[in-house]
Amino acid sequence: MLEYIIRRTFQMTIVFFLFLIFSYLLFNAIPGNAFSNLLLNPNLPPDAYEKVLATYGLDKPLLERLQLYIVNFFKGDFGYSYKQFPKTPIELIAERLPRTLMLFSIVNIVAFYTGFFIGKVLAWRRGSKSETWITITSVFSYTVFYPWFALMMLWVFGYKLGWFPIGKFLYPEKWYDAPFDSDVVFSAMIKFTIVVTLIQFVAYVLTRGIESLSSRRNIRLGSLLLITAGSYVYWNTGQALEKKVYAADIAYHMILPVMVVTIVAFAGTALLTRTTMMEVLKEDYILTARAKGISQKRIRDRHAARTALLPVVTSFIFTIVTIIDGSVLTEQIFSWPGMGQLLLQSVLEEDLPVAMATFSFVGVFALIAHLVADISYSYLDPRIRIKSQG
Amino acid sequence: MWIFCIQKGEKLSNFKGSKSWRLILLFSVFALVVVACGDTAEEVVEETPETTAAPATTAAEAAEEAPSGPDGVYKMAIFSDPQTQNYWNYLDTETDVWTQYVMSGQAVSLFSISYPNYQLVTGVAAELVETSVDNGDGTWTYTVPMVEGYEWSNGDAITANDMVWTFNTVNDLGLLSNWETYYRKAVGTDPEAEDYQQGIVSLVALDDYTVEITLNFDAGLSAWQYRIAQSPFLNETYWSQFASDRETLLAASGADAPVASAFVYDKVEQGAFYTWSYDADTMWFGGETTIYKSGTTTVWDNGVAPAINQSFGDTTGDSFTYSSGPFVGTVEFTLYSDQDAAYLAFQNGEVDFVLNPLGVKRNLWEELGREPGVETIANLGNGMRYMAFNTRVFPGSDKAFRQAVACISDKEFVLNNVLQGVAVNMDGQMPEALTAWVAPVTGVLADCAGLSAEERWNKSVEILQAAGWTATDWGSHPGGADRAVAPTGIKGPNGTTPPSDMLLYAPGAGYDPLRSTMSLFIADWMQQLGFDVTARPTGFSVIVDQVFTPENCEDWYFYMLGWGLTAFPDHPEAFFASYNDTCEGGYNTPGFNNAEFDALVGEFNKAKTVADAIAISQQMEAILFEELPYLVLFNVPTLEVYRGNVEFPFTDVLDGLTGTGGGYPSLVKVSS
Repeated sequence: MLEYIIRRTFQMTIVFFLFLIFSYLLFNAIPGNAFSNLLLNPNLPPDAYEKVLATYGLDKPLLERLQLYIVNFFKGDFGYSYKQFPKTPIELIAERLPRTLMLFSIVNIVAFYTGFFIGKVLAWRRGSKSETWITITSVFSYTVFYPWFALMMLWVFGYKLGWFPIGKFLYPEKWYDAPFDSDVVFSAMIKFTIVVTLIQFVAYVLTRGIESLSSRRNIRLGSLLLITAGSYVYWNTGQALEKKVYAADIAYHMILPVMVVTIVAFAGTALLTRTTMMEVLKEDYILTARAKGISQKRIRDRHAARTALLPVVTSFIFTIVTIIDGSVLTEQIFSWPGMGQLLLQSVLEEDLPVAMATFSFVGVFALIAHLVADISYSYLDPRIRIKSQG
Repeated sequence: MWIFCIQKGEKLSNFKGSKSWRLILLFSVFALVVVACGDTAEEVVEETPETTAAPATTAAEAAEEAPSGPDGVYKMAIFSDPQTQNYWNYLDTETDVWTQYVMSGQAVSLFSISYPNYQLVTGVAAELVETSVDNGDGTWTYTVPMVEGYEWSNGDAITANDMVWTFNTVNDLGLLSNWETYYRKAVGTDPEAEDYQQGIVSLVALDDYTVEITLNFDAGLSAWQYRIAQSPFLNETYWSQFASDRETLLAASGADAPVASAFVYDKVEQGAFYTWSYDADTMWFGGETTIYKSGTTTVWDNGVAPAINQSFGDTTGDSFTYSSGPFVGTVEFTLYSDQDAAYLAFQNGEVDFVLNPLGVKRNLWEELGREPGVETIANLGNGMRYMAFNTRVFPGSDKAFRQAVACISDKEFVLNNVLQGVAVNMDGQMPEALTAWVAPVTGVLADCAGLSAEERWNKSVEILQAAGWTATDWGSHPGGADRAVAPTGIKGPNGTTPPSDMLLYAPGAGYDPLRSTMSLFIADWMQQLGFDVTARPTGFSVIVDQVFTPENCEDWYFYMLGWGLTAFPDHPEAFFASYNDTCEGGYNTPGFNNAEFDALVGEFNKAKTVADAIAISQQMEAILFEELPYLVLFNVPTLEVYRGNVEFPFTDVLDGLTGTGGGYPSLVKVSS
C-alpha cells in the first residue's frame, strides 16, 4: 500500500509540474495583457505603457517569464496581483476562500446525501410510479441548462415570491454598524459547521454497530439535542453572540444557492447510486441474505447500499474540488464573491499571478482529491489493492 | 447535522407516526421557534455589554451623537469590486470605472468641469487662469491663485503645498500610467532636441495659496486647462507617512484618507458593498449652480466654506438652477456580479440606480420602462465607433479607395433597417451633442448621403475610375436591393493588384453585435467593389493587440473599434497627428500623415480659447472628411434607468448619469 501511495504521489508531482507549465503558457496565449486597457487612453504618453510593462516584468520573453514563475512558485512567491497591486494572490485567496468553503461544503454534503438517499430508494422501488417520476425529475435536474435554471429560480424565489434575496451574501444595511467584516463571521460559521458535523459523524459512527434500532435512534436523537442545545448556548454567549445576527443574515442568503445547486447536483449522485445499486441487487449474496430472512431494510442499507457506495464515494471525492474553486457560474449568478469569481475575474482581466495562483491552488487540491480517491478505492475494494500489489 | 437529518428522513416511511418521530417533529418545531424568535440586532446591542463591551458601546455612542446632516440612503448597484480605495493606486494602474465610481473625494484640482454642459470651471483655483507668461527661454509659466479657506476632512487647509508635494511624489516615486499624463516632468527646452519631452519644468508654491507652474511648451486648452490644471492632488499631511516608495504608497488602504467632499468611506466590505457616510464636520455642502448652454454660474455660501460667486463662459440665454446636496446621509454601492441579478434587484426596489458604464440593453430598458415606479433616460454617449484603414499599406494607402468604401457603406441602412435604430449615425469625429464642435459634413460622405444602393455603387466605381483604378470588367449593379456584379481584375492607379484575403477585424457579436453586424455589411460592400475582404469578428483583445503594437503596425488592413472621449474634444490630435503614429508607439493607428493636418494640430495645441479651438478643429475635420483615415460609424446612446423615488437635478447629459457623475450621489434626492 505504501509503495502504491508513493508511486501515485510521484506521478502526481510530475502531472502538477506539467499542469503548471501548460496553464502558464495557456494564460499567456490570451491576446493582450492586464494593462492593454491603458492603450485606450489617448492622453497617455507613448512610453508610459512600456514603462508599466517593464515595471511588472511583462517586457521579458515568455520563456524567461515562465522560468522565473516556476522558480518563484516553488519558493512560495506568487508575486503581486497586477490588477490589485500590491496585494498578493495569497491575500486575495485568503479573502475569498472562507466564503466558498462555507457555501460549497454545505452544498456538497446536502447534494451528496440527498442524491445517495434518493438513488437508493429509486433502485429499491424499481418499476413503481414514484421511481418513474423521480427518475424523470432527476434526469431533468441533471441535464438542465444551469445558468438559465439558476436565473429562473432567482426570478421566482427572489423577485416574484420575494422569499429569498436576489444574489449577494448579505443585506448591506444590516452590516453598516457591524464591528467586524464578513470573513470573521464566515470563519466562525465554518468552525461551527465543522464541530457540528464532527459531533454528528462521531455519533453516527459510534451507533452504527448498535443492533437495537430504538437504542440507536435514541442515541442519535440525543446527539441532535446536544448539538441544538450547544448551538443555542454557543450563539448566545461570548463573541459568537455579536456575530449571531450577521451569521443568520449570511445563512439566509445561502438558502437559495444551496437549494439551486443541490437540485442540480443531487441528480448525478442519485442516478449513479440507482444504477450501481441495481447491479448490486442482482448479486447472489443479496439473494442469500433474502433467503436468510433478513429484513428488507437491512438488506437495502447494510448489504446493497454499502457496496453501491463505492463509485458514489469516488465521484463525491472528485466533486469536493468544487468546495475550493466554487462554481464559477453559481458564484457569478448569485453574486457570491468566492474563489470561482476570483478565478473568472482574474482570467478575464488577465491578472496572471492571481489566475495562476488560483488555478494552481485548485489544481493541487484536485490532484490530492484524486490521490485520496485512489487510496480510498484501493482501501474500500480489496481487488484493487491486491491488483496493485501485483 | 445533514447526515443525521437525512438518515432520519430515510426512516420516515417506516416510522411514520411513531413516538420518536413525534418527538423529532416537536423538537424541530421548537427549534424553528427558537430560531424565529431569536434575538434581533437591537437586542444584541443591549446584551452586548454583558459580554464584550466595545462594539456595543460604540454603537450606543453613535446613536447618541447622531451626526447632523441629511438622512436617507442612496443605493446603487455595481458589477465589479473596486480594485482599491487608494487614490494613488487608482490613478497608477488600477484605472477601472468601478474603482472610479466608489473612490471617495480624496483629490482636488485647480480646474474642473461642470455638467451637464461640460463647461470649464474652477476647482480650488480662485480664478480660471488661461494665459501664461512667455519666459523667453523656451518655457512658459502659469501663476494660479487658490481659494483660501478650503479644508480637507482632517481639518488641514488645502494649499499650494499639497499640489507641489503631489507633483514631487509622483516623480520621485516613479508613479505610472495616468500620473504621468498629469505630472510628466519636462526634458529639455528645445523641441528639436532628440531627448526633448514636453512636460512640467517646475511646480512650486509661491505662498500657501499661489501655485506657479512652468512648462517647456506653449500649452493650449487641451494641455493646460483640460489636463495639467485638472491634475488631481492630495493631502500631504496624511499621505506623506506612506510616501517612502511606490509599493508602500500604493499599499496604503486609503479608506480613512482625508477627503474634500461631504462623504467619507464608512463600511467597506470587499465583495459585497461599500458605503460612504455624510461627514458631520464637512464644509463641502450646499450651493447653487446655474447651467446655461455654454456657461455656468456657481453661488456657494453655506456659512462654513469660503463664499463663492463665480461665472464661467457665456451666462446668457436659457438656464436652469439646481442646488447641491448632499441630500442623503449614506451612499451605498452594492455589488452584483451578474447584470441580470442587478436589474432584478433594481426592479425589486433593492437599489435606486444601476451604475452601468455601457448602459442597459435596449430590450431590457424598454421592459423596465413599463414597470411602475421606474424612469428611463437615453443620452448620447461621448464616444464613437469607427472603422480604420491602414494608410501605410495598399489599398488603404489610396485615398480614392477609402472614399469609395465610405461612399458605398450605407451606414444609415444598417443602423435603421437592420439594427432597428439602436444607434445613431456619425460621420465626423465629434459627438452630435457637442453641437458647437460638429463640422458640416463635406466630401464623399456628403455626396453619397441619401443615395440608393445602386447609386452608391455607381458613385464608388466612378471615384475609383477617376483616381486611375482599372479593372478587366467593371461589373454592374442590377438595381434595387440586389448585390452588384463586382468588378474583376481590379488594379490600383499604378497597376498594383489589391491583396487577396484582406481581413476586417471587428469585435465579436458577444461583445458588440452592432459593430459585428456592421463589419459584415461593409466587408460585403467592399467585395461588391471587387476587393477580397472578409469580416473577422474576433476578441476585443485580439484587435487591440494587433493594431496598437508598434511591431504590427503594417500587419493589418482594416479594423473596427470605439473610443470613449474626454470632456475636451482634442482626440483628432491623438488619433491623426503624424507624430502619434502607432509605429512609433502613439495612437494614430491608421498611420495618417498629412502636413496640412499636422500644421493645424500645432495651432490647435496652442489655441487659448474655446472659440479658436473650435474653428481649428473644424478645419481639421474638413481634411478628415476628405482623407478618411477613419470611417466614423455611429454613436450608441447610453440607456439608463432609475427608480421613481430618486430625483436628479438633470438627466439630459452627454454620456449619461453614470459616465459623467457616477450617479451624482452629492446631488441626488431620495424619497422613502
